[in-house]
Amino acid sequence: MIQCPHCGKDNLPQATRCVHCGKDLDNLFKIEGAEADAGLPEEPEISVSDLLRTFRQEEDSQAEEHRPAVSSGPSAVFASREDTPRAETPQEEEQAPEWLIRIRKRAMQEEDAAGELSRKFNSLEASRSQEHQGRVDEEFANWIARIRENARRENLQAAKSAQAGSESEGGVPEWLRRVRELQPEGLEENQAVQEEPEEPRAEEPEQEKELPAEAEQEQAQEAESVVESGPEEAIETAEPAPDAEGAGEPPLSGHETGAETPPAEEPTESPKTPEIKPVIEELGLASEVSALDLEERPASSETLSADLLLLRKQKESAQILMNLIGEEGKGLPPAKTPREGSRGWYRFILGAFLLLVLIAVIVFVPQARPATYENPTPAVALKDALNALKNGDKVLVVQEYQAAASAEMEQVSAPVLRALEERGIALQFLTTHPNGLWLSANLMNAAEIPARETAYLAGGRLGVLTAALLADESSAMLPEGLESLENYQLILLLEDSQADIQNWIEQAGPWLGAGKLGVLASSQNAALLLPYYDAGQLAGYTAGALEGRVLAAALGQTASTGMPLRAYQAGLLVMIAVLLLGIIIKAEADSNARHQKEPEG
Amino acid sequence: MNPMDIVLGFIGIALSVMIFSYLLGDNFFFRVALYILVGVSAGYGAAVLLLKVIIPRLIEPLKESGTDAFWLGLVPLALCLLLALMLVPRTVRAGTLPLSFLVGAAAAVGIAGISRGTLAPQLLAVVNRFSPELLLENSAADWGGIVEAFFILFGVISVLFYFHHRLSRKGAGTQRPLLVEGISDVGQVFLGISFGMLFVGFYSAALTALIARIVWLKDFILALLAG
Repeated sequence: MIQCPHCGKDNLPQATRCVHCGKDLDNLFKIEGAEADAGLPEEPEISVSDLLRTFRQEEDSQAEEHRPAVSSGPSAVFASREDTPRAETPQEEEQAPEWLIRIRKRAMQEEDAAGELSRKFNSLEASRSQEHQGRVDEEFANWIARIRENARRENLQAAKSAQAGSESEGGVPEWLRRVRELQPEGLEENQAVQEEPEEPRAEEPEQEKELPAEAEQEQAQEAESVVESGPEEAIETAEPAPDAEGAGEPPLSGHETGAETPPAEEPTESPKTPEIKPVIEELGLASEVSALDLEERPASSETLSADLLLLRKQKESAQILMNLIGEEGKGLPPAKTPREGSRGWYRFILGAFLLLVLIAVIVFVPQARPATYENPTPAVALKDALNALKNGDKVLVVQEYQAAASAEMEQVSAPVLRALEERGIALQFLTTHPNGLWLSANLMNAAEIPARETAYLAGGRLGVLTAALLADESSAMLPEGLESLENYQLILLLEDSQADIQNWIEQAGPWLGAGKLGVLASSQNAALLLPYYDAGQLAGYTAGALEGRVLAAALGQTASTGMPLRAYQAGLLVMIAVLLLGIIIKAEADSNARHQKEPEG
Repeated sequence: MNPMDIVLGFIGIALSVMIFSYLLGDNFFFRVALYILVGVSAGYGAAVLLLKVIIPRLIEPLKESGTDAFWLGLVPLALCLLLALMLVPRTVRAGTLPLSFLVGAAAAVGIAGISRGTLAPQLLAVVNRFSPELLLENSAADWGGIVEAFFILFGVISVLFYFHHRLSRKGAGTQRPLLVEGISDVGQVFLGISFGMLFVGFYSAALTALIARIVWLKDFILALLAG
């Protein structure tokens, strides 16, 4: 066991590192029995070059003295020393360590024991080794070279990994470092050539030495220009010309050596590149674009290293960026709107046909006598509710239709309002739409009743709820002149909107009780109103001009002649025909599509 | 006809033709007419709100300092100022208070109204269809009423099945039993009939408006010709 000099704890004799403190124990590596010689001077460390020199000296001595070599390799050092004990001085013998003296003695004893047989064997082995000595030396030299190359690459790899994440170090792009790794000498020399093309060559090494550290960026840019000028040149300059190498001169660039490659100054970039280049350099993507140019040369693909081809992703990114920059300021492309094509003509033909039919019917076809329709149950219920009103009762008329529906709504509403006015029922107008203010005036005019002010209830749904809940007529929340909704015997809604009808039914209906809401609506709301009537939430309703005519007749009023019935019927017929035509065309198209798919399947 | 009626009549004809030009596709004249409609409606609405709401409800109470109306008027004034701060980009967040108040109040009122004014009454109406008073007529079964009640109930259930089945199909993509599929298909038929009726209603209203417009044009031209 040996003791660690750092922590003083025991370790195995063969340990090279302390298992307790982890520090190095190489200095304590000892051969058993050699402890007594620890204080003696150590043997000088034998380097590889010394080892090779020893081999060659041994060969020379063998050739001169014709002595059989004992062995080759490191043991030959000891063997040669052992074979020439007479050459050692007594002082050397005294200085030799005790273990070495023991080994020498043992070797002498074994040599004596081996006798003649051993000597013959050694001579045969020596002759054999002499034949292969050259090959062994060559192998050894190659081995050493490989070790050195691997070590150099590992160092470079470690340096790169330490710089991982950063695009460049000291302004040197990653691709340039790779190029330098692959062709370090040639590129440096090429940089020098590019830097001072007209200076004498003798000054180049000095200039390279004088380059400051901050000039590394400049070198990188110059190297970029070298690569841009043509990868062939870069490769050629990286590999020194045989003539120049033989003369011991630095390699020359392509055009200087008289090569057929184009000169470096010759522009090889596209016309757009100078415009984009400042932007790309500003964005720090010059290396990617340079790599792009590097790869785009077809002749270079064979000579370039595979490392450079790994920059494909960077090339694609640079290409995308270049496209974006190129498109900058040009505006967005027009949106892909579906082309109407023949469908627009179909629409025009159908619309024009409908218009022509209606115009022809209105102009040329005489008015038909109004048929005696039987009113539906809701309309009858509304008529009963209206007839139940007495003189002096208050009816709130809520006008909420838009201008587009005013023609239909006036035909429905005007006879009813006229009938109520004739019976002495107090009408009060209210609207929740700003447009209702002037539309209600038109309605009064169409109904031939005295004009009166229309109150405006703001707030929409919230306003309706407020009006339904507030019993205080003097409240500022209600419009001026409007009483509490409970004071009205009937609230007559003139509606063309489903949402507005639901507002009144949902917000005011539950607070007013059943039978207080009556509706005069446009025909599009007939489907919506029926469930509410069935649920008992409406006193009744009339939807559409046709039902309005019947209701007017039931109230003893003359229906408005604003809408010719014939035209209405013609319009409905046209729509039915168009729908049937559309159904047939669609079915035919689907059938054709199925037939086309079947053969493919 | 007085000159003003003639001018307004021609303006009306021009606008009508511009709207009809949509038959040729979306074009400049149609858009001009549309912008005129929207602009006039917005301007008229703003004027009405100013005269009917802002001045009487907000400005007038603030003139009576010390009264209850004055103190109550400060609340909408503060909310209006917060809302106006949304015009400045840095103080956009100040407008979230009145907006959230409005949206929250409208949503609460809407949900309460739907549940109280539509959902509950409609469900009760379906159930009340099976009331013995309605199904018995002179102490005899009113088979028409009974069939109608079951038909309505079946329609409600099948439509609910359709919506539920549609949602579950979107979610899991599992195959439902054949009975459920059949009921769901019947619900789809009910929905189709309802949408068809809505379409007829919309078309009927549009047709009425179109006929009324053509009749007005005819009357105007005849009046012009008559001098």
